[in-house]
Amino acid sequence: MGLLGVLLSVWGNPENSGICISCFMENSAGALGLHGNARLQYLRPELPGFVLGAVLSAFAAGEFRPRGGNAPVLRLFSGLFLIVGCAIFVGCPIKMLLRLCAGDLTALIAAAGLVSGVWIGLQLLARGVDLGPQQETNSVNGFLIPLLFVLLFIFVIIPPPFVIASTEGSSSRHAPVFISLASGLFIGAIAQRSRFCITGSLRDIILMGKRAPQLAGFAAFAVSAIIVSIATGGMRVSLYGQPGAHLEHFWSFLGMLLVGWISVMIGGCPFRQLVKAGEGDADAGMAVAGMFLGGALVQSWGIAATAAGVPNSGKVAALAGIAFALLVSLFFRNRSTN
Amino acid sequence: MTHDNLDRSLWIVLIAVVAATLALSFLPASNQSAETQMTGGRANDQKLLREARILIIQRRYEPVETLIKLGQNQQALLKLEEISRSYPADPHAYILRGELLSAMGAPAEAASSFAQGVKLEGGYVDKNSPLSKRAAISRLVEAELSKPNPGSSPQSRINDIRYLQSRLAGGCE
Repeated sequence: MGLLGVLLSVWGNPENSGICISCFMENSAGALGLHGNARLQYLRPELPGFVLGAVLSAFAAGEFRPRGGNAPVLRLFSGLFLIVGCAIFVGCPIKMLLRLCAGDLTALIAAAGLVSGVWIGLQLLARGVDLGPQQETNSVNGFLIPLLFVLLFIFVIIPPPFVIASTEGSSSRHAPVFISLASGLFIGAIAQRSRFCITGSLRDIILMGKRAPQLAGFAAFAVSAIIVSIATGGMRVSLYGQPGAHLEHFWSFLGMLLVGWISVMIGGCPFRQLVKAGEGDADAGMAVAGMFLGGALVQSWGIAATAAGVPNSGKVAALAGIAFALLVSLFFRNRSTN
Repeated sequence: MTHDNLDRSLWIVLIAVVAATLALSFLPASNQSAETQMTGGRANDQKLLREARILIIQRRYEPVETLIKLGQNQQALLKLEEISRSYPADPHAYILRGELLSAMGAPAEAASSFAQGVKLEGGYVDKNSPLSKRAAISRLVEAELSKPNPGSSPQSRINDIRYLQSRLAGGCE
């Protein structure tokens, strides 16, 4: 994944954004006409690739299991606030790693925020915060989100006239469609088999320390991304002048803290939600729907940060996200376990 | 799944509806022009807006461009200020001002003006935009960064340079 994350940028995706779920969500929401930022409209083929790769892998391994729990609206809002947190930092946890591996030191403070968020989420889980158990559910529930992505896959191959593609800006920059699709399918499949999740890995490392097998996974990701970054000339170690990065470190920290916290509550980072939706998880499907909505709102309402910094509405949205996570922690807490 | 007649009827209707949906999706529509106008309208609108904007900019700033070509930068700057009073939020005015100030040896003010313009319209640092001023902005940023100890410059000035440097580096917006 580290290798493909860098190579997709070399093949045409924006710098340090070979894989970025929040950027892809914002781009795709724009392409479907859900926001009006003409520079951020492109149906990223990697997105249907991730989900359909996971679907195929889950079927092949006999792991496609339609399931769901409770609190669907809460999961929708969780997905929305995941994208808000990512938009404040300008990138999802995978992009944060890619930025770090390309020498972007502004991502260090965001990494600290993500670890803090995962730690807070873990502490709250240990004290009884729980969204409820999952049950086997009607198979239609598990198929709806994969079907939506089949439709997006068709839109990628045969673009209908209502799908918009930017001719300027970062969305006009993309790897060739079939390379993006193939990479997405491959990454989706291996992520389904390996249960790859940035926040899940951090959670296990916090819980198990050096014994966590995810440490080796992180190392493999980082080493491959660093080697390819150096080999392709993308490595530039600095705090300043980094692609798509701003210098409002407190808000980067808070944005990623929000992402880490919510990810632990709902059982996975934005990428893992896509993969789980491909395994028939209707709860993850609701989070994915929320992520699409979030992708549209952060652009329409001027929430997303840019290299110029974090707009005031972005700061308000980040704080609203923290308030949301606090409310969930208060009202979804099983106090009898303590 | 086909327990009784109702199940069987629902399946038959479902298959018919799915077949009709697929047929309608892939068959050429008889009234395609009106349909394309409706569904592809936004993309066309955006294209028209881009083209119109270029024409408006050419017409609006023609007197300034003429003065620049004659080498009368001071007069061009005065004319630009006059036009800017009518269109205070036009990013092109900031970019033109940045070019003029850069040519007149005021790099700090030029960087500030370029940064304002790029914040309003990112196309000025795109490689493929017809409005691109990437080369001029790059030159200014490189010249400023090559000065000894650029970090000792006033904070607002260095912030503008770093912002432009980040935008020139690319990435997501």
